[in-house]
Amino acid sequence: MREESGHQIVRLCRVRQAVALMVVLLLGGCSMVQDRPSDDQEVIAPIETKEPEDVETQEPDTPERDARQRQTGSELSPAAASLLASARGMLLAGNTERALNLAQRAQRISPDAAQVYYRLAEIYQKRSDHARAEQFALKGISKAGNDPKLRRTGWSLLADVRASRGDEEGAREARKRASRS
Amino acid sequence: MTKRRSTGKRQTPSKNRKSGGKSVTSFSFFRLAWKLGLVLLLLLVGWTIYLDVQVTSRFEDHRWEVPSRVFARPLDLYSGAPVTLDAFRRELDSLGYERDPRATEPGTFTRNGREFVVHTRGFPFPDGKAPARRLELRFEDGVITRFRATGGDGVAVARLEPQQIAGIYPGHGEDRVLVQLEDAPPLFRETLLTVEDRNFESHHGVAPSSIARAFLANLRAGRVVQGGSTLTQQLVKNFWLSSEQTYWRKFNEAIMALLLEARYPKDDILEAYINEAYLGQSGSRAIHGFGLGSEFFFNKSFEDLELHETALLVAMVRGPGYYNPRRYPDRARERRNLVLRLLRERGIIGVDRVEKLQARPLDVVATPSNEMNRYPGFMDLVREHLGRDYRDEDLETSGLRIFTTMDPHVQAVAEQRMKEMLAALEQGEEPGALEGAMVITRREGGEVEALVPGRETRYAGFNRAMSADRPIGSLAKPAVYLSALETPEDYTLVTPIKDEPFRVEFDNGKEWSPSNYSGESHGTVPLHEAFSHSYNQATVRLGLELGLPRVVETMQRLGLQDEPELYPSLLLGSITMTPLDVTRMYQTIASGGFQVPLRSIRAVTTPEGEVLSRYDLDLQQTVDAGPMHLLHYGMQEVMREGTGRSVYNLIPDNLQVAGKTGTTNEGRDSWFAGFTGGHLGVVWVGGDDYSATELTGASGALQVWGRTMADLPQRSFSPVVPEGVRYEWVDDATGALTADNCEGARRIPFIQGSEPQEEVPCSDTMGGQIQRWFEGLF
Repeated sequence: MREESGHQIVRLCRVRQAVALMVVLLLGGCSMVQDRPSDDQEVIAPIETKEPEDVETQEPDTPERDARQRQTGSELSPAAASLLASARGMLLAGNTERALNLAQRAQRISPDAAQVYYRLAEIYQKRSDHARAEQFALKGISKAGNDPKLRRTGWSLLADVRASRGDEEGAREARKRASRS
Repeated sequence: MTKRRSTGKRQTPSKNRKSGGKSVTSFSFFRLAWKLGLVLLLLLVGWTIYLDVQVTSRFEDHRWEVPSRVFARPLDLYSGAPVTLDAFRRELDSLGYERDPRATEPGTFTRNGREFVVHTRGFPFPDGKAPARRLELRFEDGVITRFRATGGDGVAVARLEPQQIAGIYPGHGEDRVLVQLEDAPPLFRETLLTVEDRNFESHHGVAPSSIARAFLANLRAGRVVQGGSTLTQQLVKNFWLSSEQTYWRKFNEAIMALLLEARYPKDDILEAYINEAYLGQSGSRAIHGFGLGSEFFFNKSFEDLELHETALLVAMVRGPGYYNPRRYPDRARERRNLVLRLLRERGIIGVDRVEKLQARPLDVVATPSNEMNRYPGFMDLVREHLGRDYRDEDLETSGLRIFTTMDPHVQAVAEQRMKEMLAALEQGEEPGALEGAMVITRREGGEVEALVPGRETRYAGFNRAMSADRPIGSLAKPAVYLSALETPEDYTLVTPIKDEPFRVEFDNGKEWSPSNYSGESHGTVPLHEAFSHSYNQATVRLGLELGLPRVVETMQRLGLQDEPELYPSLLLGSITMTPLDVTRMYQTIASGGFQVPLRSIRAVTTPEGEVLSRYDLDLQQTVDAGPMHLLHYGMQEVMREGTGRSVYNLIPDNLQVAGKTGTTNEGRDSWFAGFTGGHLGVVWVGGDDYSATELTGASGALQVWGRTMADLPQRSFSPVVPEGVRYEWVDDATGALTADNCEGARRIPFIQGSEPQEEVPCSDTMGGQIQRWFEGLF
């Protein structure tokens, strides 16, 4: 389902870019500088990107894939999502070693997705390796972009980890960030 | 000594009786003979006891020396995986997959244009055994666009078994894969015994009739031409004795064979034999045992051998060199068919079956998948890593399985591009004068995917990637600019910096005045421009404002492990590092400010699959996300507008990359360090003898980097804008805020609160204004 709506977004962007491009070309003589994408979350646009169908087959979920920088975090691929789901199962069953293996495989597949690092943080938290858990939570937050839900998840996780480390002030700060997200 | 002395003593009295009667002489002769016989018998008993100790102690404690196996990363297959059709084909070839229109058996595949059906073999990974699976795959534009595992239990990702890339062998080079008798394929035992020892089940270690036959043949020939050895004797010979053909050795062999048979069951002896048998040679590596033989010749496990394959291996026992099926296929086939005929003669298989089997090809795979030492450069890194936790002896003899991070496809591309580019760069120069080194890692995670030690990649030699300690030139600059950007109240990307000549005076009265590569100064420029164009005078000025200790401290947070002397010239990279050290430092930048230990190994297991060590992803934040994002912006500008811009002649224009060039005095070192979304690559090019070249970082190392990255499936490096960073339009000329999309303006990230306070109106053309109006619509 998500993939389909992703497709639609891409198509919409493409239509918009195509119209913008046509208009710009018609006006002629104007000097749109390349690689200066708008700050607007969805319009991205080095105008010389590939054919639309190419993008759709390659990475349907990420309209910002070739932007110089992006506001949204990177999508979790279905393959990585399935590995993370298995990792969660293992974690709940108390098998942190298997969980760690699965989450690391997911990390290799979707290394820019926040969820991967959150799962790793949970695994280390379960192992009472709070220092590592904190680092992985921070890493995940750095990948969350402007997605409020992902940010909230990350900051809450960080708050829990810090609380178990005995870092009350850090936990309070993280909780504050979570509620602001 | 004792023996000689005692006979001497006896000889003296006999002299006195020289004139004695005949009966006395014969009596004393018998007595002497009897005594001599007794002594000999005692000696024999003693010798037998000695041999028995040899046999039992060695046979029982015999620890098979099994070398460690080193594997590449397994190829992950899933929908969206960045794998080109070509790379996939090569992976299948290396793993010895064979075409089969139905792909019904593990190790086969069928292809229809861009679509493949692959039947994987299954593999015992450190995290559990992956089953053999039938996969349907479609490849488009360097990506797997369709992935389906038949049997469809919702599998979303599968792995091919990893290629074996090396072995860690003991000095004598014996290699083997241990197998048990119960793993033997059908009719193996019958085949082996038919050919090598028909009376094995009944004899006691030696077969006198065979010995007699061989003795006569040898007598006739006047030398040893035939062996009447039983299988037990062959084992004894290989295990304990040299291969010289003397009667003394044959004598020992026979006694030891008798002892072995007396003490151990037939099955134990047979199992030892099938693990010991010598079956071939690959360079200095000796192929021992049917387990390794099956892999080496058929790319199969022992238990999966078909009868014609079993027959070929058994056929080779007599002369592995002479019947080498890769070198002498006709000879090998003739002998294999002889073995099959013997099976029929003994009634083990029927005529029809023999004819069918004899008609089959040898089915030997062209190249063994586990050729040794194809990657000595990468293996140096693996050995260094293993050396921290394992003794050499254990690595050479315990049969460990070492799962590395190497990606054979990335490695092959890197080696190839390095070789080609060095040849192209030294056109007109003395050939071989230029050397190079490259390290490629996963941008997130720090797994080393490839390591090129120099232009010679097949033979072990000086590993420049790990050992060439060279000045890093402008690769040091990101640390200077990052130090500045970490204090947003003092510095932003648009802070004006003076790029003008100046002198540094030292306490000892000496002076230093840095100059720019072009020899020109550029006046006052914004900080981002000084960085992207790598202006030396501006950088030294900035670095001295910040103070050398602060810059060095930043370098250390990025991963520098030394404590360098604080000379101003370190701001321009007088500090020396190996390409691997540089990779460590840039890995922190590529991972967004998280220090990530470089890893070449994921796990080490026992031969049975028990995990001994695992080397997990680890990370530690050492630089805040905000300043790191600003540095990324600068490093992207290097590639779009600055010293690295020529890369876009090599890579697609929509691929976003970030990096930094580096050149040292007189082109002695040409460096480039940079990353795409998927890979971080560090390249060094220069002369081993520090000779001057015409090269810059851009004309040397960057060319190797760009060609390598262009050949790999890529995604853009498109960092997420962190919280607390805002992009603003800034007028280039004044450094003041201005309206969106103005001519001569650019979007620049600022850490919140550090944005310029002044604003200037937009001064662009009508066209630009209309364009902005339209963009506002969308």
